[in-house]
Amino acid sequence: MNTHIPSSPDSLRRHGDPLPSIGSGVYPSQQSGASPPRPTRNAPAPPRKQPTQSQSSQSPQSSRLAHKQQNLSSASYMRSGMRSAMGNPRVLASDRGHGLRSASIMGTSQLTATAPLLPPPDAKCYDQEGNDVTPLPLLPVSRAVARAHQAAGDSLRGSDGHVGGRSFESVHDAISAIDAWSSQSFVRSGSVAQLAGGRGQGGGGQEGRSRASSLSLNDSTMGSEGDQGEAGSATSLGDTGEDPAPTTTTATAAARSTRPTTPDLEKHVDIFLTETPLVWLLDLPSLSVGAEDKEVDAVRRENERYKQLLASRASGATDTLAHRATQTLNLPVKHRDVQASAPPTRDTGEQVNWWSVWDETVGAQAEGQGVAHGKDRKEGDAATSTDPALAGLGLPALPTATAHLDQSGTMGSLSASTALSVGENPTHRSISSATAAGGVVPVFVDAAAAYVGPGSAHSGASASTRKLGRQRADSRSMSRSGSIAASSVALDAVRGWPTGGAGYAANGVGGSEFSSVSVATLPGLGIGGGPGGEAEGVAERLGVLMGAAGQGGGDGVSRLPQNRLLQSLLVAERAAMGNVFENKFVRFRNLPESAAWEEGDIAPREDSAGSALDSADARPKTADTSTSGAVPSSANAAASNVSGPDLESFATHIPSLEFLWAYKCEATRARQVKSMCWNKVTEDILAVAYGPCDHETSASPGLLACWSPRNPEYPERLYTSLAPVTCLDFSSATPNLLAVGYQDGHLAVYDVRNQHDRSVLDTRNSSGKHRDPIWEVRWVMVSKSGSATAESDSGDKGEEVIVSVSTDGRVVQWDVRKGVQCTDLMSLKRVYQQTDQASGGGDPSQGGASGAAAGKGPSAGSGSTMSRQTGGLTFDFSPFDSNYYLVGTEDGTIHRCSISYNEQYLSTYFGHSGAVYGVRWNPFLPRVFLSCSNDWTVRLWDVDAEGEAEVLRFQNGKDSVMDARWAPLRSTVFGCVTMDGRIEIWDLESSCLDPIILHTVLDRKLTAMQFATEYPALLTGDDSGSVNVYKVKNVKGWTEGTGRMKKASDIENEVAPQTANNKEESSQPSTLPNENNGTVQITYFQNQATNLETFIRKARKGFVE
Amino acid sequence: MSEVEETIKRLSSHKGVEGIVIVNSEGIPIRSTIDNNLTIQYSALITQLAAKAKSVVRDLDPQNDLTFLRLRTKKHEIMVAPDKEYILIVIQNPHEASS
Repeated sequence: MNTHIPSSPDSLRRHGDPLPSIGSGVYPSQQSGASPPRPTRNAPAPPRKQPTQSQSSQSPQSSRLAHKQQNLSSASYMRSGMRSAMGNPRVLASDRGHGLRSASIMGTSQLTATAPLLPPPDAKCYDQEGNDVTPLPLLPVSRAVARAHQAAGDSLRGSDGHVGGRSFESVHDAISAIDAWSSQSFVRSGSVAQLAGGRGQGGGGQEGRSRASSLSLNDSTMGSEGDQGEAGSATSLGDTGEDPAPTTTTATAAARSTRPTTPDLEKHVDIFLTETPLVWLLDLPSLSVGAEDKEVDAVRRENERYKQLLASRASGATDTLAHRATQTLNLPVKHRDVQASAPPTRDTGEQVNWWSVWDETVGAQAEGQGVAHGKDRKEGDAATSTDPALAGLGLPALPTATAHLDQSGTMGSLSASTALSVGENPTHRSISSATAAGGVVPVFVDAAAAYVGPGSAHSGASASTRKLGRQRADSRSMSRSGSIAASSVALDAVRGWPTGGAGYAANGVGGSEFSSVSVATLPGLGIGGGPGGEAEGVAERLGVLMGAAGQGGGDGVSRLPQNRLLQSLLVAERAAMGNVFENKFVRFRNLPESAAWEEGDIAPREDSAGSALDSADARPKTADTSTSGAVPSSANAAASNVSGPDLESFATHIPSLEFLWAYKCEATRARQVKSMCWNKVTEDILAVAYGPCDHETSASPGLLACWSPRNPEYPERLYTSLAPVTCLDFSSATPNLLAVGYQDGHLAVYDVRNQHDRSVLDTRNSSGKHRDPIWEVRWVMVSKSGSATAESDSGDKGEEVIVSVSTDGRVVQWDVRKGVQCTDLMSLKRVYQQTDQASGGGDPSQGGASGAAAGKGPSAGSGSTMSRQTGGLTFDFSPFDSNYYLVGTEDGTIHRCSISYNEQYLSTYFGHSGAVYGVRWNPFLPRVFLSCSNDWTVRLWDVDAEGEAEVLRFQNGKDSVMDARWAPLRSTVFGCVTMDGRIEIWDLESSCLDPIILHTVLDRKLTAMQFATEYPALLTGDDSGSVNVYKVKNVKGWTEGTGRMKKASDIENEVAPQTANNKEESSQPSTLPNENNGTVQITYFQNQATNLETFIRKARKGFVE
Repeated sequence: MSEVEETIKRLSSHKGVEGIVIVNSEGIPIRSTIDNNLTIQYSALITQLAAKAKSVVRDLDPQNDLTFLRLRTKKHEIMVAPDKEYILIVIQNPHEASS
């Protein structure tokens, strides 16, 4: 061991050469990588100390060297401890200057452990003060290395007791093993540098020696034969010239003797360090000459030269300096000018009024409730995602928190009141980290609050393990707190401006006063806080910009929000139509027409327009025109009635129709109006069924439109269907549902809230669907007991079903509550009038009271003829008892049926010679009904006069009567329309020979009609696709008064209990204008019923007029 | 043709309707059926008016908002439907409409 000097001979020589010096001096120099140039495999290890190495085990060279440079060594040992911890080999070189070339170099170099080996587990080392200085391994030792160490230990043990007889290799191996673990364990000790330094200071000469020995041990770590040889040559260069072999043996013996076995390590070992005799490696006696000596000049010159040499060395030049002139080139210098513009600034102004503040605060809260929730979630995710990211970088949790702290710290410093030194106070550090982590704490409101807040905040945050949840909840609660600051922050978050950091900022701010500051710093925080969230915000802003961009193009309309624009257009269209039809609307609504209502030059135009459009009669002047300039409210019904007869001409009192407007548009042109139906709740909504276009094939799709008077020129809804629509009806229980019958026999239900074409229900695939066109469809309220009530009975009990009639001879009830279930109410069989059997009165055998007889009658009457079905064209449920209904058939018969019997008629009414197009119960008198037919007649029937012919027959024109309806307010008034374009209004009280109003439309076939129930108005549908609206004027008992009339359903509940007793006559409530009193209602109703009854009675007695 | 275009066309064909101008949020007319100078005048002036009207309505009650503005003049009725992103202006001559 220690057979080689730590540094290689090459390095010795190299260092020895250039240092001829006069004065004795030692030049400790750092020479990196010069001494033992061996490759290092592992991290550099600190210098080892081998406390168990006895003094005697030192090699002679080392000892001598150490003695000579004791102080220096001990001093430099401290440094070497430090430096070698960093892996720098250290070389101490001493030299002197009179040609003595030999130098001794001591270096702790290459302290690397070649193989990390485990120390014996129980080895302990103590210093002279008894402290445990057992080296501890720093690096983890792999199992393989442990095994290698074990093997080394075994070989050492095997050579125990033999000093000289060991083979060189095994001994060397053993030493290197020991050396390895000792150095290893030295590395293990935590505070290597301090320990070594402290020991070095206290150690004195002993330190130096022990260090020297450890140094010499160190290099054997390399443990190869080549090293040995090298060391041997190095030693031979030394002054002492000792034989390397004994040294090795000695060291080996020492090592072997101090090889710690397990029991040895248990006990204390006293180590005595004794001083070895001084060995002079180099002696540089000072040379002193007297001033008078003759050699003094030479000495002085020599000294001078040496000083110069030193100076030249100090300046880094080489030893041999020569002055030489040379030409150098100056580096070319190029001047370049760069023009830099100052950062652009822009002044912006913002005007804030207090509703914009409201928008930002309260409005944002309302609108942000939905949006902010999702936003907060994203934000929270972004915020939490940063923490794992930082953790992934290997940063501990604390830096994350402090990063947030710094952000909030900057905010805090912006506030004058928050003079807290946040970053320096450890308490606050933890607090604000807690704040950033999970809680919303108003930390920075002011100093006091900051000191109060921390405790709770800290505890709260530390207690809360669910950061995310808390954060969400907090941000929500904050936006609800109503403080402007928090809300504006939340608003910004909603708008996607500073997303990532907004959560933190909001938490940090928490309703403090410096909200504006926090908002201003939000972008920065956003960048620092959550990169993901920030990116998201950028994306959203880009989206906004994209939406706003390119508005200069002509295509700009399509970039606008189409739905809202469409809505605005529709509103504007309605407004424009309101201007166009304003006067018509006033008349339609039955409002008093006042000249004062219109001002300026509009009124004359209106008058002329009105009279021009009044096609039938002269436009009657109302009383109000004469009192032009009067207050509009003064013009009421009373005034009209009182002043009218006095002032107006005779023409005022002629009943007439005034054309108001027509519902038509391009899509409905040339299509026949098949059916019309008011909405049961809002009579402004009119559904119209259009048949196929006349000019096209029958395969052209049907059309369905819902009109509103707000825009008579374009429907609110336009549904197309593949099959032509024949009939429709609005539900009264669910007013948005529209039942539609088609020509191909199927039934559909539309929800008019939908804009699209699809129906909500369809019987196209139902097994019970009609095989022929449906001609009438109606919603009927059916009570749960099975008895149907009329649709006008807005029954709170029972359900609403659809009843349809078709030419396939069936009356079908559709239950749409659960899917589509159909029940046949009646299958219509053809019956023949038994004029031959019955005398006079027709068919008394069918005696209306007996259902069975009535059912038997038809079949019996036809005798042996087979029962044939007939097509139903129309039906009507009784408004008083909807168990009973009428069916008009295409062979001209009208059957009264009950829903209880689906085979037999209660009674049958013969008379019409053509198909019956419509049957209508009188709304006032339950036993009277009306029918119209294509035999050009309208007939009035009395249920009680069953078997007889009709009570009255009305025929004015010579074409089919397509539709007939009772007027809503007068029991004796009805209207009808005909194929040749006549609109007739009949009043039985006035005349039963001629209609009171006859209005002819040229070149049109009128196909449908409908009275408005709220206003004195009449609608007719024609074959050109327009629905014309007329105002009915001057019909006694009907068109008097102004304003809206009461609908039957409005007053039904008030009237019904009082009319329960007289169920025969007045169970059906009436409509009466301007009357709310129930008693008056009944009176009015009874009057109406009595009027009609009287008339019927007289008519049956054969009188007329 | 889109539904909006169809409605614009229909609206402009109604009786008395003299023009339709659609102005975007920056006051730039993006669609007009009247001549250029008038369009610019209408868009500039009506935009200000609508903003002021909205401000009035909002000042009176911040929860309220302007939805429609009708200006009845001697010659015209100007209907303004303001929105966040556009303003729809319809100019109608009511005398022509009702005659």
